[in-house]
Amino acid sequence: MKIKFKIFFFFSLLNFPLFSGCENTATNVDKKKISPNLLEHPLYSNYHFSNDRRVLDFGSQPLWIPPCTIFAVMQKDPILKSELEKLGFILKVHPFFKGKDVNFFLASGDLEAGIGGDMPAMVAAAKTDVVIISILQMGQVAMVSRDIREIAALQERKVAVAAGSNAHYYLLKTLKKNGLKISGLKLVFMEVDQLPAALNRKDIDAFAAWEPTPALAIKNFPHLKIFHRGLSYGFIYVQRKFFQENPLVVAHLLASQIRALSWLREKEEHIDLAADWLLKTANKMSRTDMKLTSIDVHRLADRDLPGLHTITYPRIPPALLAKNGFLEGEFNFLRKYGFIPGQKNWEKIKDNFNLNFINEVIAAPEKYRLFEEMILYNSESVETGR
Amino acid sequence: MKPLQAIIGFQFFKSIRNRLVFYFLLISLFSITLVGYEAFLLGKAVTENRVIEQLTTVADQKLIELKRWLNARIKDTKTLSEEPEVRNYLTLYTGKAIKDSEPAKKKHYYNLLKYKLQTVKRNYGYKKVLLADTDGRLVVSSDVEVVGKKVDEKFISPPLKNGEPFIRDIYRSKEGEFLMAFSYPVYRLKAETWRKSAGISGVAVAIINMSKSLFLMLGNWPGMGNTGETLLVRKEGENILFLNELRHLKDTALKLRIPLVSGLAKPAVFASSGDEGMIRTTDYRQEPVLAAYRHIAQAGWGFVTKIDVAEAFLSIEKFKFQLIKFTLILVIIAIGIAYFISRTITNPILKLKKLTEKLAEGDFGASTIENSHDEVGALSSSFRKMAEALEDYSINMEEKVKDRTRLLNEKNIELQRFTYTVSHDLRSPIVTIKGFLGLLEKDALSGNIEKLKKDITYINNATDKMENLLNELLHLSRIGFKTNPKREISIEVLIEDLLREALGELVVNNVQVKIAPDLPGIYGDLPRISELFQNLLENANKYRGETDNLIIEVGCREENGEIIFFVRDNGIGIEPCYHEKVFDLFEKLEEKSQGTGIGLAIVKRVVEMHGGRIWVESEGEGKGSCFNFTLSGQMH
Repeated sequence: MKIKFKIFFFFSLLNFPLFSGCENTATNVDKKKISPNLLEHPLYSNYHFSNDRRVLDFGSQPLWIPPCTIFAVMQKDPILKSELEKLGFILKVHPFFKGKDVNFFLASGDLEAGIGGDMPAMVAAAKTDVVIISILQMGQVAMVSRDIREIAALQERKVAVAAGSNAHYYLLKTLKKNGLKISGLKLVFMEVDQLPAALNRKDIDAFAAWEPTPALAIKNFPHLKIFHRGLSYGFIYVQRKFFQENPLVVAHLLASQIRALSWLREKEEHIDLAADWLLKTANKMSRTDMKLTSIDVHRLADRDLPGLHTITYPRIPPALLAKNGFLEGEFNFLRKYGFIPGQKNWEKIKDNFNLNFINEVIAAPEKYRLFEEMILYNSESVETGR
Repeated sequence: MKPLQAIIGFQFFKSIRNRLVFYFLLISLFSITLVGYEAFLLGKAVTENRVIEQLTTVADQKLIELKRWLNARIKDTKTLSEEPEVRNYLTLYTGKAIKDSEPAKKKHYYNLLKYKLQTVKRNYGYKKVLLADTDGRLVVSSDVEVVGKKVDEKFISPPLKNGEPFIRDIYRSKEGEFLMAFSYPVYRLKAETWRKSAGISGVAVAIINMSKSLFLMLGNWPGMGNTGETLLVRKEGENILFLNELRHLKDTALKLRIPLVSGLAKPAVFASSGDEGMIRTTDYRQEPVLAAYRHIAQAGWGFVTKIDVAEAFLSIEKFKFQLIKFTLILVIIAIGIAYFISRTITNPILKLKKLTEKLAEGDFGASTIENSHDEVGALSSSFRKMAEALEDYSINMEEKVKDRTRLLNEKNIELQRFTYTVSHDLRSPIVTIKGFLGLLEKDALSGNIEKLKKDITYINNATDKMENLLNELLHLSRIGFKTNPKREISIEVLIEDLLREALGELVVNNVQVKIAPDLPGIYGDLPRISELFQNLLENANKYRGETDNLIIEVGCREENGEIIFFVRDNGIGIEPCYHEKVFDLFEKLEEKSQGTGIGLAIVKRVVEMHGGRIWVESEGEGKGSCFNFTLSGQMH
């Protein structure tokens, strides 16, 4: 019972890629705590967002593992702190549970920048005018089951997803690819935190979710298996106004991401170290032990973090924005299900992805101190929102 | 739907043996098929899971190896390009620090760099390793090449432009080799710093022969059998391009393209678009395959391990065949057992049938049949007893028929005699009545009242007599029909009761009735036994003759194990010629004697009712009589 409670509690906090306006029929205790008006949220209501134009309020998601491993390093980057200080800025990081929450405070003007999965990034692009400057994650959404090993075997089975999430989109897309119809299976909407336990209890036959939910499910219920994976992405995005007014600040933020990747690449131990930092923050935020070790996070990071091994810079792959490409497909899905207003079109959304900004940073390595060796602080070099 | 019997044939089902065999077979087949099918499904699921797990494990393992291989190649080039000596020598060699007038010095650095590159080539298995300057000209190569020639821009442009490492995806060389190139920028080395910010001095390029490295590694995995293969693909426009040589189709590497929308090579299409999973589909040969597909984000490749379904699930087919074989054997055994069991059941029945037929023909000697201890044995035993009983019955039947015929004849004679006697004896009072009626008329006409009265008296006597006769006859006839529950009767008590209640005349006449002591009791119908003794005692009194000292003895004796009761008197006796006749109806030795002549007939009837017999012994007139009777047997 104790472990189950812990898992339940952790998962109840783990909901990052949901959207504002996304409806869900499932209920749980924590849901009550998270009021639709996030200004009254028990955690967020204690945040002090600065109205000072010299403060970069940044929305992070410590429970979003592994992408936030990079951000864990960025938070300890002395060069970033020093360069921002030179510009008269300080970076203030506010941890959030979900991309949906980050978007809420971006829309309210409390945050200037944040991180989120592909779906929140596009919703932010559609609802709040943001510029998406870099890719943070090239990860995977996964389907988990007890006994199913092929997509074709989902027919007539009960499959759960978080409504409107990238996992929802991934499920629909995968079914279509495999010649199945959504009507051919019993679709159940559930909060992501409930999925592993529900699968273990045999309430459902499979679920689709983003990391670290599948990893945690397998960790806690070893008889469960991942039988299919699809791509998902994560991005850093900034308010367009802030971006236009403070391009240097944004450039240094991006430079810090590049430096963080270089630092992680330097030694395997660096990834373990960053994983430890992230887990500490995540456990603190979730107020429970996530049951993930730094080795688990390292393994996930190896697979999901772009540039950790081969790609130096966190460029947004142009192919993602191609006609009928991955993001256009997601955009159509979001519009179809009402998460993005109907009048929005893909060409407009596409403009929010700035593919060239990173080249300006890369082209001036000395200016942005890209190759400087980082001696990281033991504690965060930037302020946290609490 | 036709009934089963109609399908198989009615005649077939007429035999118990056939029915037993059929139903036993049906039950056996059902059970065997059910168990077999369940076993097959279980075996199939286990095997399928095993095969899928195996293929998934291979795919995951190969994916790890592939990623490691890729990372190792990138790190090789990175290590080379970041090596201080290389950075230093290249800076010196390409820079202005050494003048063209110092060829020996330049040659020295050239040789040092060449040695480094050759070391990397040799140690890490590259086809060629080279360094190019910022103008894209070859500085030094591990192989013999013209220094200063232009290096393919595709290798060096990205690293020079952005300082980013670059991977040239698999390509075919002019010589037809499948190569892959890894480029990494080489930064100048300044004395005061190791930082890369000093700028790029050139590009290190390592070219590897895929056929001798990655393809070799991918092309082999345990359990791949005759059809297993590994595909490496990448998306190219609207097609999937196969990067490695296929096992079942020659000369396909970098040549075979399958449109994304063709519906063919689904796992390859899925893998190249970022999906990972397992699928049952058809491959490029249109063969059904089981495929595990993975995506390699670093290179944008799709990776598929697949095996033909026929081979993957061969063990299932074998298992199915074995199961069918085993089922057939079991069915044959079941038929044998069914036949054997049906024989053990039906054989005794058939024997009984034959025996019945013989019995029907009157052959009672063929009664030796099954001696088993089961139900059939019990049936046989019963049958045997029945046959014996039938035999006995058959043997006794003729005698019994004779006896019964004789009895019937006797009864007929008796009936005739009875009819005659009754008609004769009843006629007597009628004649009397008729006679006196004539006289009555005459006397009435004459007015002779005295005579008239006498006539009427005679007529009354005659009618009384007739009434007595009829009552006695009625009584006699009822003896056979009306029975009372049997009970134990003490003869002594019975006679004493009779003397006290019904035979007062004997007491008045001083008749001595001697009852033998210790007479055995009789188990019989009390009122009838009472009549028996009453009639015998009355009879003795009636035919006492002239003696004043009548003695009646009641006793019994045993002869040949049989109890014989007797009532003996010292009366007038009976001539031997009447010994039989006295028991007939209306027979009286003295016409003048009182009574109707039915008494001894009643006695005889009561004795016979009690399964006994009666006879009289007398030496003749004046010698007294002794009526003997037995009372054994059942009442009718």
